[in-house]
Amino acid sequence: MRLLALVLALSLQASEKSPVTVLRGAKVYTAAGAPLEHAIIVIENGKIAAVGKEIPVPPDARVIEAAGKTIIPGLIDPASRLFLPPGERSAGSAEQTVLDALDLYQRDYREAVEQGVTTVYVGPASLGIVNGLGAVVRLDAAHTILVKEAALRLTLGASGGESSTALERYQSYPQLKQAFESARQYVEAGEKYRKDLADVEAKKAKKEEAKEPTKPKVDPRQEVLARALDPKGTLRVRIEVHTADAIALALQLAEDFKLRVILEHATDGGPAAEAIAKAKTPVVVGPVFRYGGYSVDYLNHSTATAAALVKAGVPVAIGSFGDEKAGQWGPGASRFLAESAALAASRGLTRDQALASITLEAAKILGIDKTHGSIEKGKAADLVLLNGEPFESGTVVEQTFLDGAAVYTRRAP
Amino acid sequence: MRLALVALVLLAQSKPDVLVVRGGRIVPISGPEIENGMILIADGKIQKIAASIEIPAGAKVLDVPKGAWVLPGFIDAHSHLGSAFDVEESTESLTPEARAVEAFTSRHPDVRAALGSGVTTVALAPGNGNLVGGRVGVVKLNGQRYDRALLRTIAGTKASLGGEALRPDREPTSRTGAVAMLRDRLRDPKSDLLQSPLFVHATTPGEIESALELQAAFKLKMTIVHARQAGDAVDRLAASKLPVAFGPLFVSDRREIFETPGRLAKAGVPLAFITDAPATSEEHLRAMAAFAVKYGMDRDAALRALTTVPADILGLSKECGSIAEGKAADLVVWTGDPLSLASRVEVVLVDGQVTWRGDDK
Repeated sequence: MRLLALVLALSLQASEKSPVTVLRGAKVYTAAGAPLEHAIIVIENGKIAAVGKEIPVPPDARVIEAAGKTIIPGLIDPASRLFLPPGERSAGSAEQTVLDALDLYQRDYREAVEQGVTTVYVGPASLGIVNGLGAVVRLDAAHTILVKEAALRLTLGASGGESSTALERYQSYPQLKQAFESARQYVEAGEKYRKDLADVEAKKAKKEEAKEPTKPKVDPRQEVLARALDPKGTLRVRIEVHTADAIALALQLAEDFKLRVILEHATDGGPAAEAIAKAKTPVVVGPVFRYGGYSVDYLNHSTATAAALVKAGVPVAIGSFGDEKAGQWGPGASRFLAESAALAASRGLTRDQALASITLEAAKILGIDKTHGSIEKGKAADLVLLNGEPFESGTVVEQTFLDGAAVYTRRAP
Repeated sequence: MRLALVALVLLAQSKPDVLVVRGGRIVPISGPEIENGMILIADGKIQKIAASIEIPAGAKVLDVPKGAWVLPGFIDAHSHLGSAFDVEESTESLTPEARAVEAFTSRHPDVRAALGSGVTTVALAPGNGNLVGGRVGVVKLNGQRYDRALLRTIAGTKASLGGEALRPDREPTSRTGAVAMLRDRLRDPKSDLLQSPLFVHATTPGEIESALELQAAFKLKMTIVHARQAGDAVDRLAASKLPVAFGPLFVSDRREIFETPGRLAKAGVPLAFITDAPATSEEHLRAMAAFAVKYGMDRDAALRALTTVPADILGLSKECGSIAEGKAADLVVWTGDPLSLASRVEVVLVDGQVTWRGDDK
């Protein structure tokens, strides 16, 4: 008996090493087009080598029969608290990175993997107005950091705790403006120094007399803000906003400094939907499950916000936002990412939009959509095998694949 | 789309008090499901449920399309809806005469939201700030004024063994003191606590033990409220045969807490879900049932936990909680399975009247 188990284990191990895996016969929601019935997905070197209906199965491929099942892309939580120690909140500053606060030995992430989540964005917890850099973390055993510095997080409202006051917003807006104004001057000073230096070099070459310019001091905080201001840069700016008033201020800030802005929460985003759409600003909506209290920031909380924004043409991802300000105390909300999208679907999102909001749209907002977020050729083989239609009661995750490897397999009940 | 999905067809010379709900998957809870069935309603009550009913002359017809589900309105067995926690006189340890329903605001926006989430009946309870907080009452969310929404002024009495009932400036200051004070009160054979069903706030296994011991000593009619950490007390609760008003469940809770309702139901404990609103919202009531199913609860038990069990606990089992002849026509038309969170409410009938529609904002 024991020998048999050993042989079985060894043969399983051997087949795991087979270079090509094929998932055959499932209905596939690619998140990038119409669902494919009875489809074939070919996985090679952790990537999707092919997906479609009429695809030859490579001869030595390990074939997983998935007829009657459904496959969706690995879920991406664009606002998670996984790996952050409970109560982790600090004032923060621009150059700080959340990676230094992460407790990668926490095991909560496994429950998220069991529910099909393969990638999360974790932002710095905040008490200040400029809080530091967030990162994109893969939920593999190694917790691979996919993007070290994915976005700079700012706060316009709710910075000090459960609720912001009008005075706080009134103060934080000019403070943020001042911070970017000062960063702009820092950039200009650097540019002037480089120009002066070039002039000096030129004069020296002609044996003329020249006075060395003073080198400006390098300031790591200003460097980060400068990257956010750089028109050729990639650093995104995520601004926490709740009320429609705070949203208007955030959009103004984005326009004044030409920032690549993403709004977080947008709790009262419904009335501001047209303005957000006009500014072409993506939004990470959430938390959909919101409990307790009647703070100003959450006064108009609605599970219909995601749908209102999508209808206005705003790119929307849904995040779990498991944090204290949302009336929650643990890091466990990523487990219910699919339920969050489902509840948003009950208030006006189509099911396709709901699925996209936790896969491809989330990938776009995190800047990883070239490699993740949908089931398309060349992308990472992050796949979730379901026993039925997504968002239905009774549908469970049977297997989660990350880079083509099964990182979770459901035990028979 | 929505209008096309549910069309109210007014027939000529309609008698306003007779209505037939036609089509959809009828889930009565107390009986077998009927695919594409019919429900006859007169004077606000359910007269008949069958696969086919002859439509009386002059009756209104509410057409429900195939694919939609019809369930009884959900019942929240413990809430502070529309009362904003304004329901405890906590400087006193015992205020049994206080009535929670008197803090109810029928025009509160959360009341509309509750209807839109398929909740039609809500038990309003005093808070946990004192040992005996007052009377638990019940309102029907019929869209009417407070006095016309009242179903029960007194459905029971709330007692609390939780930490919030203990204060340094008055008795009791400890759980031993709390139990002693309750015991003292119960020894009086004329005590009103002996007559009235007791809703006892008990969250931890220790609090649950204390409640069960009081119940055994005085043969009380008791419901254990919250029981969130009942994982270690499942067997004792099952042996006591007492019902549990369980919850709320928060998305950040440990897995063990999500598994507890399923374990309690499997052990034979009658279990109802509660929102404790505004701690959570009425919109969260079915989400809790959906979460519990995800973590192993039998789906029929989960549906009973939203309907027949809370009706029993509140003494309403003859009046509502299931689609059965003679009961109030509190019916909710869902776009699909209500335990699938992507389903939404289309129409809510309370006492046979359309009280909420899908396009209601």
